[in-house]
Amino acid sequence: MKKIDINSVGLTTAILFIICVIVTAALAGTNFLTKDKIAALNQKAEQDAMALVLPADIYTNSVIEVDSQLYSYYKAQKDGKSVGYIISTYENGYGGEIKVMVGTDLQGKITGVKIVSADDETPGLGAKVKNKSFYEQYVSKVKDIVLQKNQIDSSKNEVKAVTGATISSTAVNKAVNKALDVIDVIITSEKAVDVGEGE
Amino acid sequence: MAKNKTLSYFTNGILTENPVLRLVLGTCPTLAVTTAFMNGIGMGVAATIVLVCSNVVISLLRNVIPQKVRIPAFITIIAGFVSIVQLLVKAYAPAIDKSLGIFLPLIVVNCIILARAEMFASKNSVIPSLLDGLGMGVGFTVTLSVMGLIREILGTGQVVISESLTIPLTSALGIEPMLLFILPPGGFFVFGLLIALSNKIATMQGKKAVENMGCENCPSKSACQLLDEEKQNTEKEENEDD
Repeated sequence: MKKIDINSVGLTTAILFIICVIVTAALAGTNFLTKDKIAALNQKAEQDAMALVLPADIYTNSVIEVDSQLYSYYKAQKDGKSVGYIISTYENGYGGEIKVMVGTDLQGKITGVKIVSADDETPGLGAKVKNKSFYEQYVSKVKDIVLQKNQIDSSKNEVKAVTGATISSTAVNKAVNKALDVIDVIITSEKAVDVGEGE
Repeated sequence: MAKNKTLSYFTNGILTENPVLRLVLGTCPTLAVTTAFMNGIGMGVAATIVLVCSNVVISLLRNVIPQKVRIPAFITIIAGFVSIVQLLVKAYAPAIDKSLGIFLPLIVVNCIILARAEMFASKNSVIPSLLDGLGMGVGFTVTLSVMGLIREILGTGQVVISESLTIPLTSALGIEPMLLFILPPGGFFVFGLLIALSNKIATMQGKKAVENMGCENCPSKSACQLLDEEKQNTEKEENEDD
């Protein structure tokens, strides 16, 4: 009887192929079972963040173009009246991208800031931008916030950087300022619409 | 007697052949993830699940997978399990996914898993392979947790168990936290000290200290593929001479 050589090209290819098919099927199955839960979790995380940053009843999504870049933002309404805007912006930090969510009132004054993700920042240093003590400095600030390394004048529009994490803190500050600039454009364009309708 | 041997497959991975401190495998995730105690535990548990699953499957298939394609086959199976674990973690423990970040998918290239597949699971039956995987995984988790605990306490002065529970420590002792310990140099310091400690324990258990860095003194000697191949090659040569 001819002995089947398990190391022959035909058999090795076939066995590898079968292994790949089975692994792919297992992956597809797990994905099918978990994808709804993962999508729901992501949605809930976003909703929770928005409620923290600017509490409201309804958030309506819109898009605006500023400097040839599209920004997605939310207009928040409470008890039937508009109360403010929420926008998420990105900046490159020390290790990777930092995503920041900024909520403001109708005049562009910050109601809340949340660091949505800063996963690639150094733990114990840059990652400290995720601490409340850093980002809650931004509440009540307006356009063009200045980041200071040392002493700050709390009556001025400035915040203090995290000690030893200048790059991460600068990234967050840039992201917040960019958010405020875009919201400024939104407010101006809405005022123009109101004026136009009033006539 | 048989019971002792079976148990030893498990206890092997915890101290005698601890994958991180004795076999010096999986050093990348060890150094990167041990900046926090909870990260160490999370990574250890995820890697243990993958290790046990891949060891069992590879052991079951050990007579079916051809020698020539064993590495691609092992990696496909390991990668499959890592992806499945990643999806499950994303769905049911998203906090761990966030804190481990890229190191969760990087379990695929964690040397420990491929090494145990190659050195143990492909040559032994299912139950020993399962126990070996479990032992190595537990050893890995314990090592990561201890390292993470030391580095986090010395480096940040506190241990963060969850978002709500933090245990501040050095303030009680009056010592300032030393940032160095959560940076790479600190990781190497702690790693080196732990290896020295485990070497000391091994010497106390009667094992001789290593004098030269040759194959004879390698802790993985019994399972080494290279030695096997060398032996096979010399045997082949001797047969051809006849």
